[in-house]
Amino acid sequence: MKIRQEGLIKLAIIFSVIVSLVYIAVRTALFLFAEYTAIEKFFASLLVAGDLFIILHSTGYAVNIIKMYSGKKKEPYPAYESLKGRQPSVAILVAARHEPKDILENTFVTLKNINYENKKIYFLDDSSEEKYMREADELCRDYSLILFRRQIRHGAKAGIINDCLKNLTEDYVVIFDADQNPLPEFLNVLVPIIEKDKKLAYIQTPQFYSNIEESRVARASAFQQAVFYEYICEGKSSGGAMFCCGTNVIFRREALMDVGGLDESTITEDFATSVKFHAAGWQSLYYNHVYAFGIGPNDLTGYFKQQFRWASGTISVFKKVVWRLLTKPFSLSPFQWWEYLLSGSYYLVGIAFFILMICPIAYLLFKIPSFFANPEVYFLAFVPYFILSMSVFYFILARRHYRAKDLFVGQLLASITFPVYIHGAISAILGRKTTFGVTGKVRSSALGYLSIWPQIFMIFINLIAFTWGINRFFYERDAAVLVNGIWTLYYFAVFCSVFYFNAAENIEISCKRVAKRLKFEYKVLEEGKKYPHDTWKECLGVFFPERLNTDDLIMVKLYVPNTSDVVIFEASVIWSSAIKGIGGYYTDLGVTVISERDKETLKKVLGK
Amino acid sequence: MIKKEKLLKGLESLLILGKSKNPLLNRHISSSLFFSELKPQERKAILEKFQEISVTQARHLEILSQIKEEILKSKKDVY
Repeated sequence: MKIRQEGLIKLAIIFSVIVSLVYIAVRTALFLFAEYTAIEKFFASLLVAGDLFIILHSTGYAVNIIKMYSGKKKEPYPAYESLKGRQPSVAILVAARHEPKDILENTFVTLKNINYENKKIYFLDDSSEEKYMREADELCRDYSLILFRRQIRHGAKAGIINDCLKNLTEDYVVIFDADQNPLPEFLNVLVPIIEKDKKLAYIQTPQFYSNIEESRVARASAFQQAVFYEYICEGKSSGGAMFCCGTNVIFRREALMDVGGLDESTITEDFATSVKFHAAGWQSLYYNHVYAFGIGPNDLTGYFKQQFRWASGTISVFKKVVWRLLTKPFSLSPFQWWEYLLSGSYYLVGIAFFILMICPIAYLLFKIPSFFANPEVYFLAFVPYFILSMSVFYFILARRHYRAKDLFVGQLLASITFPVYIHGAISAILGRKTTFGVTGKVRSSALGYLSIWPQIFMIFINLIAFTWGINRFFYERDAAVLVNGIWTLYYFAVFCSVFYFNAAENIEISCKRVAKRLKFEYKVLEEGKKYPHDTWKECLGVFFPERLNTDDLIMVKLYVPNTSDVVIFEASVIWSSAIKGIGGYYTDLGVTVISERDKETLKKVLGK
Repeated sequence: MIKKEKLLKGLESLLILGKSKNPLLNRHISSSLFFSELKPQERKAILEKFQEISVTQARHLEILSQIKEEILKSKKDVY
């Protein structure tokens, strides 16, 4: 039954690829044989290129899925017992520069708890500010970490890892980003696998954002990640082309030394180094099981910064990949070339998306045609391609329990990021130096309108084009005007989502006393755990039977009146009255951890 | 019998082990539940249980810290 179902999926995917190729063939033929002016041909050629880019990447996705389902049946991975009591040595490296202490503390606590004796944890502190250096010293003392610092800074994260590598003697090197919290079994599962296969240079595991219920941006970016870490990575791995993602990864130290360490010439050192590994004959593996939890960007500021870094770094490596293809075409297998070229060029998607958006506007406002087909041909070629490719995409991910609604929100976020992708790609193409920026993880704040002007401009221009399109349709009754009008309306709606993602999710601090006599329970979790006020998600005043100390962290269970519902949250004690009133000691609380759903319920209880 | 230094080291590692449960249970597991396809009320019930465990854990940590403090202050070297 399962085999039959997989066969049907493969068939549907192949059919969707064929329909896509038919569509692009029709488009190209119409473009080549149509008689139009130079400016019209210019717009048309851009649109064909944009379409071609999207279809090429969709085909790449389809190939990954087919590759994954067609791969040879793998032998089960070796279990921990295969080590026969011998634990190879492992160095765990965490590089950080000006990271918040509480984020690092969570990471080191979970690293200490990795259930593997023969490990050493290295904290590679690259901070230059006194405050962060002092905190790093404290962490190393509290958690018995090996502190590594360097005198001369070069090559950002890759640079400090390379400097540290020179002193290491361990068999394997694990790299975690500063915000990754691994599970205790991380090494027990991965070490036996890499130990068995001596050609394996590294094993990559997925990244998983666990703050998806705290912010819309984090949630949407988590679903973007999911698309990548499910079928794409599995397909790449099946074809021997899985690249390293820079964190949650275990390296064979011998392999790292063989390729001269991490590539320092780019900010996406992981991607660049992977090419070197594969070119040197080393193999890679993707192990699709979440063994580490991380924190995604909480707001558009952090998200745009992260995406700019990835776009600019990946395109800069793409240039190198193309050069290598021209100079050393046999250094990688055809499938590896295909995958590296696809992955390397992915961030040109911003340019492709921009082209797809401006063509309907150009048609409606300036009567510049770019599709070169009458509406019947358009519907015949485009509609099957669009419906089939989207259905396959959503269906295939639904098999892994991802909902279409969540995936669509992820796509919306990617769409509004187009200016960042374009900026990153152009910077990389021009060879501009970009610095390594840390993705914001603590605060959630809204960007000013000036920072999102390209998105706002697209909202207005699409609205203007749509309005003008209605006017034209009224007089011309041309179906092409209607089709382009629908597209501008669609893009208008897509760009309006920038306000959804940019909404400040921190509620203004104004402690509101709980008026009704609410039933609640509480426990003190930690004394003196000070939380800065900008991390509070809500503020409320409650009467407690005892006086709590300022900065204590408590867990509260609040019974919602007239329902069986409860709201559970963690809160920091802001202030507690010294005098016991009729209801008890009046106490102001700053809510630090609360789910989206509970936040809404709490707001209702507070009458906000 | 156990020497004071070894006992303190053991307590310290227990405290670190305990500390890791709070972030893991409260944040990470709740987000994993998001993908579980359980109904919101069912997820809520599971989360409540997790948070109860978390609260109990916090209490244990508090007791462990007190024991550690007492041993630190004590002049006894063998337990």
